[in-house]
Amino acid sequence: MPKAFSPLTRLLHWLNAVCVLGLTTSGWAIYNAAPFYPFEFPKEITLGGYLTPALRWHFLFMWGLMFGATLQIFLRVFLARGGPALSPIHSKILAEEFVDTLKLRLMHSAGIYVHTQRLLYLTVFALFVLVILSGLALWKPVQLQFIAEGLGGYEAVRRWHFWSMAGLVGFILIHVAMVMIVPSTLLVMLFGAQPEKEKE
Amino acid sequence: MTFVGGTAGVMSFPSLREPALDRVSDFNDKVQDVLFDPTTLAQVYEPSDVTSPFPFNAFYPESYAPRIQGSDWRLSVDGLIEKQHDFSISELRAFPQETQVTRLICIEGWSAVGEWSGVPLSSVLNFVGADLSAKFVEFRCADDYRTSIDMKSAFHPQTILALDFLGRSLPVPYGAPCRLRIPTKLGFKNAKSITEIRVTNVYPGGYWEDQGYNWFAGL
Repeated sequence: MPKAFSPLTRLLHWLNAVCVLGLTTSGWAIYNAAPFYPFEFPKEITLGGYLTPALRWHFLFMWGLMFGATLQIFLRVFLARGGPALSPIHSKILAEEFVDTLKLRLMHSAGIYVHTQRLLYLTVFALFVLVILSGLALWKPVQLQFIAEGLGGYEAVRRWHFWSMAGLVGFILIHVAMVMIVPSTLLVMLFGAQPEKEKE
Repeated sequence: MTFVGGTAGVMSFPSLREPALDRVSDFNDKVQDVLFDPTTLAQVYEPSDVTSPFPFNAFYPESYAPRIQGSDWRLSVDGLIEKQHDFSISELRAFPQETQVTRLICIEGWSAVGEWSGVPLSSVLNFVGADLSAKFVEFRCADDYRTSIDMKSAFHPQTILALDFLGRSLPVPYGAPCRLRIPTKLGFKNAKSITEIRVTNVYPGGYWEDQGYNWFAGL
């Protein structure tokens, strides 16, 4: 049986993790320069603290994410590698998994995604598409103005970027909570080990 | 995890961090130069879309904005040009004028739509016989602000030396008597109360650029 994640997939996962963390926390400092909601992010949890260094960090991690995301999509779409299958998704099975979860019966086997995981990861993929597109539209509202037009104009794009970030942060919280419930997954993503099928 | 640890290590040491971030910013300049299409126009809006009141923004409070007697003011254009010239306001107004309703986008994220009129920067640069192969056009201002742009952007059709805002002479806080209005670049490139334009091949930087803002700052 093959390992759940190839070394390249695991490397890309951690590259993406670092980049998303850096982009999110520097993004909070950039938001603080001109907040459009009645709150600011605490300076202490931002990367850079204020606008100038935060922007420099943001662009460093932007290139990291661009590299990682491009390679990841290439692996998945063209080489059919890069992680377990994300389809099919059946609503009936989703409902069964939901009931199981309520009964605290979590099925997990490394290398195979249950339908709930497939739905979650597809949603995350859509959020990544949105956060990257809105980010490009904010960076280049003239040269790439067709993106901003499709998303309702420059000011709307700022909100799209904010809410796709919020969605990704929500995912990360769920993701890390699940790893805490099934800690062996952390070993799988770090070392690629294939543990025995387990039921918790 | 080596990558995570390595990143954390680089982040903690300014002597490693700042050169790395400088290199990323230089790389961003090159990418933006490639992405910049001189024929792509910034979106134009209707006069009814103009933001009111239009926000004031500078590195000092509004009351510190320089008050310049229009009749005394001259715009000196020098550097890599054929004939040095000091322009008066009436000389600038004698050129064919352009009006634009465009969105000014600040590096902080906020934006505002305004209506500016004035003379295309290309007209002035052509008039003095600027060396079009020069890399930079630098702007120096009455408030000691400085900034600089690339030659391609200087010749973009929407890059103007604005003399009017909403059909009237530029008010003091908005950069009287003459400011750069360049809707293909971030707000901080739109220098106010300009006194000197210099064409040069020596990287001029700028007030914010020297503090870490990305130089190209294209939109």
